Amino acid sequence: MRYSQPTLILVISIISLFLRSEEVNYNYTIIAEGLDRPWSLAVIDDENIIFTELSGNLRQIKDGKLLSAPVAGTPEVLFKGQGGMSGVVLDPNFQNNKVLYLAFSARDVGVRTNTLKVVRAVLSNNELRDVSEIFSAFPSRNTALHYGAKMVFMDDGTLLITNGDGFNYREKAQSLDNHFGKIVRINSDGSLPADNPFSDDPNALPEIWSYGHRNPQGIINYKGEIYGLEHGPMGGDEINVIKPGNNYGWPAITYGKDYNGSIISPFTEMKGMEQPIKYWVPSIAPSGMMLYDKDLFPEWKGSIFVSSMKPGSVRRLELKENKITQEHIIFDDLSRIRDIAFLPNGSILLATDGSGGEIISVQPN
Amino acid sequence: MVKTFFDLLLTAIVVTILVVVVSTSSNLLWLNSMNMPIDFSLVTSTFLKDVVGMNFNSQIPLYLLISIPLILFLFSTKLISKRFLLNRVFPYVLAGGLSMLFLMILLPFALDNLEPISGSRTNIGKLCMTICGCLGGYLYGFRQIRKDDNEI
Repeated sequence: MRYSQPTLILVISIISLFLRSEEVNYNYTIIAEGLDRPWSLAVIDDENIIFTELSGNLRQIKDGKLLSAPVAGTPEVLFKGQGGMSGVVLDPNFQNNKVLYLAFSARDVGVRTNTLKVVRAVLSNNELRDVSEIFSAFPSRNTALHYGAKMVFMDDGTLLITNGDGFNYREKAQSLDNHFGKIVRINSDGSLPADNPFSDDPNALPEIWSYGHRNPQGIINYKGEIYGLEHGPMGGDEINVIKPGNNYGWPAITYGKDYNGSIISPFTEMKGMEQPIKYWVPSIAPSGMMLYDKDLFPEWKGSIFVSSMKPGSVRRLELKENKITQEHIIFDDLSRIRDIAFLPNGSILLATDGSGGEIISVQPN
Repeated sequence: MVKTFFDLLLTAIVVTILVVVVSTSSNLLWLNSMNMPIDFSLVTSTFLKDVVGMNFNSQIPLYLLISIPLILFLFSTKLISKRFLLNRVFPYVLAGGLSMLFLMILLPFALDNLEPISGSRTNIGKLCMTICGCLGGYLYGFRQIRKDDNEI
């Protein structure tokens, strides 16, 4: 039997289309709604979730239900521009000690500047106790943009905190005498680990772990490998493999342009500056990241998921030996997605952005 | 009137180009200080890309941003000069400089301290931008006075 060439091409095209598409059927369940700019998710277990609202609240979903009252005893935040109650992360021993960490923008006392701060606190019922400041970014800024403000624990129990470049201070991301555009590493009590890469450099701040970042809005630890998600300018969003002491190039090298249309740098690579494992031009406005390591969606196991706000969707990135091999767009029928996480049972959690935000659980059909 | 309007637009174009020169230069000077290889062809191509980018690919075109205060200040100065029979360039130079200073104060004020023109984030940058406005004012004033002299 002979087929005409157009028929063969059509058949092959249809087969390849099916092979490349996301053949995963899923459904959404809204588990919390009417939220005020949900920003960051922290999962305790399948039924218990903690999340921040940028406007200044820490909220709990307890036994699958949203508690109407926010957690009491949270620190006062500067809710302005991109600032507010931002990152939340649980202590690795949270099940026993109920300790969590909050990253937020805070106004300086008596002056018009502000900075990124991190506190450690104990969650007791719906209240924070023993709140103590463990990090304050230096120096302060007069803008309310680019705080980073995401955190992750390393395998050795130290805490990585991302701090953005403050928009007006982008060149400072390349110097080590400040925290602008840096990822810093501290112990969970705020003390300094002895083995930070610049701890012996008298001209560098000893908390610095890596530098040359713009606005790192995602950071994950997968089996000891740290991946950072960089919110770029017009284009130039990046995923980087974060190593101690490395320079990630901003703003000396970038794939993006400034919002005013000008060239930030004509260079995209330079010796001594790291290349991303993935970048986006034009920008997708990435907001959060996870590496899916569960069996509920077996096809997605081992993929990096990046939530994005422009347009609202999630990018699933197939990862092989620290290289992104394929990109798939999923969950693009929702609005701007601010953060993403997964539950121990494998369901995926999405936080949609803005006032009236929702927390949505995704399960297979 | 048509000539006055044309002169205002011409001045705005000149000031816009000067501002791009300052912005591109400050950026490339910083990159040079980071030991990035900056050569003449890179300076030229970056400048041309900035002229296009800042005026056609920006959320607010730079030309529009500069034109509004500049035209307002220079045209007001022309009216005042005519009223008081001041036939000097200096008021226009002052007006041009003030219009840029006004823009650089107003923009961060309106945008929560955000400085969208990267070249104006430092005090030297602000000074250079003000000088751009002064030069624009000089150009406009010179052409107005010459026109007035010709009319006499």
